[in-house]
Amino acid sequence: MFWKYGLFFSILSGGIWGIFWQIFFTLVGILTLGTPLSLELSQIMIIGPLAGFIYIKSQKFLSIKFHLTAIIIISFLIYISHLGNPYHAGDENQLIIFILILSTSFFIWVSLNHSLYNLSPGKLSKHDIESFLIKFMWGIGLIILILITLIPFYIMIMTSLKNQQSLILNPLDLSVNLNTDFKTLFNSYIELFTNFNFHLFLINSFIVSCTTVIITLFFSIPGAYALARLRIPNKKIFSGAVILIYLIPSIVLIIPLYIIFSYMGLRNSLFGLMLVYPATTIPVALYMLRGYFSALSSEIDDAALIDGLSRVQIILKIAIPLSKPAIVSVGLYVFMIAWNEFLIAFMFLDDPNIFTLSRGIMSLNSSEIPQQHLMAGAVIATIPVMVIFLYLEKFLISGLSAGGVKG
Amino acid sequence: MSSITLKNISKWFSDNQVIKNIDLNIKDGEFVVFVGPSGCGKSTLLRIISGLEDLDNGSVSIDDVDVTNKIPYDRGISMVFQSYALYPHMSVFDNIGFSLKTSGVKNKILEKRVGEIAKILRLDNLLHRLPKQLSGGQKQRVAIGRAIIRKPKAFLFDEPLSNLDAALRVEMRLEISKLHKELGVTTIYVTHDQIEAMTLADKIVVLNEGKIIQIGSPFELYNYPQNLFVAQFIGTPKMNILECNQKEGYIYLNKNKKTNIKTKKENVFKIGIRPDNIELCKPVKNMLKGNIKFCEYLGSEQYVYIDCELDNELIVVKLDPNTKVVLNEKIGIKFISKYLHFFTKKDERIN
Ligand SMILES: Nc1ncnc2c1ncn2[C@@H]1O[C@H](COP(=O)(O)OP(=O)(O)OP(=O)(O)O)[C@@H](O)[C@H]1O
Ligand SMILES: [Mg+2]
Repeated sequence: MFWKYGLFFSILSGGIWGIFWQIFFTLVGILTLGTPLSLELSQIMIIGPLAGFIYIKSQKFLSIKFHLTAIIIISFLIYISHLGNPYHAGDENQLIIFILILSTSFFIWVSLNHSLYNLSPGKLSKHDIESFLIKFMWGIGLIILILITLIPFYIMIMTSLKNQQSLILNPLDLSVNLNTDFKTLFNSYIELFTNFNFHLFLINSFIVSCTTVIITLFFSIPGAYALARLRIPNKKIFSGAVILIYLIPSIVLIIPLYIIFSYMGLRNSLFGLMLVYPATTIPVALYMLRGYFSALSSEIDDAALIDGLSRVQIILKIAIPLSKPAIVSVGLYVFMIAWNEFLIAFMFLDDPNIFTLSRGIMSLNSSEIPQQHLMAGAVIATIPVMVIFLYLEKFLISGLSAGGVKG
Repeated sequence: MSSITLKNISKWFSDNQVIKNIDLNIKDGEFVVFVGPSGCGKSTLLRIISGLEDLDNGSVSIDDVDVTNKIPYDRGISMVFQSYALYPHMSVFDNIGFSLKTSGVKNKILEKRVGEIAKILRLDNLLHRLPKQLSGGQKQRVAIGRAIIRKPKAFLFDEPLSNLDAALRVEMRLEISKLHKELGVTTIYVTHDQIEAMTLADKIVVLNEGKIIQIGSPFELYNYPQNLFVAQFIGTPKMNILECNQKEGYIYLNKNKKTNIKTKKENVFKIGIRPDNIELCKPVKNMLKGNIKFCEYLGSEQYVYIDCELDNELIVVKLDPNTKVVLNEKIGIKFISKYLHFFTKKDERIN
């Protein structure tokens, strides 16, 4: 069977990596040059497999020198095959084109080196095939994931730093002239904070999100503990009902809520939001925490009961310290739900002074306000969450409860 | 130090009755061991005594005070769990001192008490470690330390040694025995392990399906089992049980095999004899005979399994390890009659 040979896999992965990096660097070229480039794949479909073939045939004498030579040869082949004019870009961009092509060859070779390392060209065992596939998929998956997250973020930041004129001139051009002074570069941000009340929105969002997290944890930790540990009559029905609440989409609830909250005068107030948000997040939090609590050994709780703790003290001194990672991730999750929530905020808030960020960004969406302001608003909404995430990451380690019990 | 009295205790888990009308008296300072097959309710009974499990019926008293409705801490009892159940996020020091700390004992006294306990249990050098940095035996000692620091009225142990390896088990067994002698505290100990039960107990309680089958000293249980269950449960290898009937004072086994056993007892339906109490000899007439089927050599002793053509039952005999055994040899079997146990049709002992 031909597909059981290392040679086949090397040629196949050479082709796939070639196409992949060609597309990627064409995109990079478009974004940096700001001019359309033509994407041609037929050449790389031959050069890529060829590179794979060279790699697997020369595995015995891989060295830095050999790597460098290979990369230069691949670049050379790309140039030749495009008759010296890859991407059909203008002459003034030749330096960048050269860098793009060098990067394409470099990354093709590195990827091959990652996924084909130590693979023999001959017939492969099942284990070899599996480990190749895992490495290959892992590489592709990782890169795609990074691109999916980074590219929109990159576009968002770059657009937010541009001025109206250059945006209209060429919306594709994502290069930023870093020689301009701070004030012009961050003009959109300054405008948002001075003329559009974004400092208020930021504070409002923080208040609402933090309160939501606190209220949610305050109710869901004891609730989840009770569901996990205590013998409550009709427990099954109760926890089923909780999940049911979670499954109802908020779009169904929003009209009755709107009416009720209007009657009670709670609409158009942050307090109203602080009532609604926990109501939607508590079921999820309850469900997630219950799973974690039931995985903790109940004998530890029994030991604490014997040592004289009440159930409340057990929650505070045993359950919470042991499930810190779970509580932090639930808290983070709830924070993000509240922070990003738009629908309810949009329906409930009319007064621009109490807008939350997502509601505030929505208010920028009009023809009079330049697009880069919208992008800057999006950046402002994203960055706090990222900072909090990076800060709390160290709490998300597992294994806090290790070692207390055995068996 | 106190006595514990259980009166007519019952416990249901939904509609499954796990504990069935148990009455039990435990004297001050006694070491009581609960044994019984898996699922018979030993842990449940222990948890009822400690207050971790509610009762459906009956009462628990400690020192003649009814504690049925008291929370675990107020019963003044401490418990050691099978899984150790140490607090994973606290150091050994905090684990041992936790109950004193919760009850508001001053730091100075706390440190002194923990120090004393650590010395007794040889944990002095480990006080700052977390449970995950300890070996199984050390964890178990921490769990015991946590239990004794409160000077409890009674200790409850739920299979405390079952997670340890054989050598460590012997060591910890001796340690628990020593501790009991030193402190003299009433102790209830649940185990699967016969040797633990026999060596530690002043009194063994045999449970089956939520009922007490027999209570007695290790000697009584081994020599005077009140019924077939206890007879077979206590002692390894198991007691040989043979169905029989009586004719002219002699006992006949299945298929009318005559034996040398003569008895005046009536209604004998089964006889039991421990592997230690059987002698092998040359096969002669009018005597139980059989072929040696298997032999297990254990170094200090050996067990031979003899097929006497009694409904596929093999008779186990314990022999001196130096006896030469030839497989498939025809051999005569002599029961030492003073060690025989007789049972009725209802599996009750005949005295
Ligand atoms: N929380 C519970 N809910 C329902 N049934 C239970 C519960 N705990 C125990 N049982 C049942 O009660 C019976 C006795 O359980 P218990 O744990 O007391 O047995 P045990 O004698 O300690 O057994 P082992 O020697 O295996 O530990 C078992 O049949 C068990 O299935
Ligand atoms: Mg048990």
